[in-house]
Amino acid sequence: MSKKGIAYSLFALAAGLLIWWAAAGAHVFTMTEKLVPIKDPLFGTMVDHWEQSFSPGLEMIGPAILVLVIAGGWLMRKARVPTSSV
Amino acid sequence: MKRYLIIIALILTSTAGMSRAQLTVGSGQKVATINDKINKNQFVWLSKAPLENIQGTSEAVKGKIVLDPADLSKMTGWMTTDVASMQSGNGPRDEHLAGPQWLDAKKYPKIKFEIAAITNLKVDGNAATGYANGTFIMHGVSKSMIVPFSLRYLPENPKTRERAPGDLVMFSADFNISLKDFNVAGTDGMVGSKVGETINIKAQLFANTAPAANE
Repeated sequence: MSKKGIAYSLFALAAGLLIWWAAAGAHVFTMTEKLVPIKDPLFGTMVDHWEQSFSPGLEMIGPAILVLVIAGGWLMRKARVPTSSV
Repeated sequence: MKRYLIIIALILTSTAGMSRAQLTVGSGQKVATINDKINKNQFVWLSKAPLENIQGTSEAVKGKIVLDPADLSKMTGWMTTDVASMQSGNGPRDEHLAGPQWLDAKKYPKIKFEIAAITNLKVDGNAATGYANGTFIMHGVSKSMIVPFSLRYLPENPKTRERAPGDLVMFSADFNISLKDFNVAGTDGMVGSKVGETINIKAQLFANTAPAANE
């Protein structure tokens, strides 16, 4: 794959991470559990219970996106600059 | 005819007045103890802030409610929760929450609400709503509060016995507290941006009236 192709892949990955983060609730901090309401049949009320669930936070996804964008930008620049021949 | 109508109206009015604070179950003073065998006792809290909404729970709830189904207006009691039991779905954040800059679990390990009086009571069958007037104690600060609540009373039957012996009582409450009122300052700049100045609390507590054997 060409440098340009790799750069586009990195940008697409960064965009994918951003969409995943937004779809998972756009949390500032990574969540490892979430509250899920479960109906109590005796009282007919909903009671919240913790369940394992991973939602990425900005503190984790932000640096990853930044690294991917910088790497993609660097590869794009390398692809555009002609290499000098001696 | 008019006289009969007046007599019927008087009887209806007096009956309604008598049943205002009375559940349609037995009478006599009972002590309801909060019991996790019935269901999960917890306070679910919600912080709404411009940068993030945070939802969490506070568990390890203990408490006793003294009530007479024949006269709920005289209900009293207390309930506590452990600050160290607070969860928000993020481990490091939970540690900060219990840390000295926030709720300081080491210095103030419990949050407590003491019910002193019941007002605005409305009873419908085995359910009731009203206001619990009492004292909310958090972070070393005691503050008088009026907490709207609802109650559901289930007399002992084979289904309730599967959870716990005695009559079962469920209390629900929904109220707000201001962090400022309880001297919770937090880390610089966090309150108002990442943590709400006001925290909404929803309590869901399950108790049974059996003697102390299940405690």
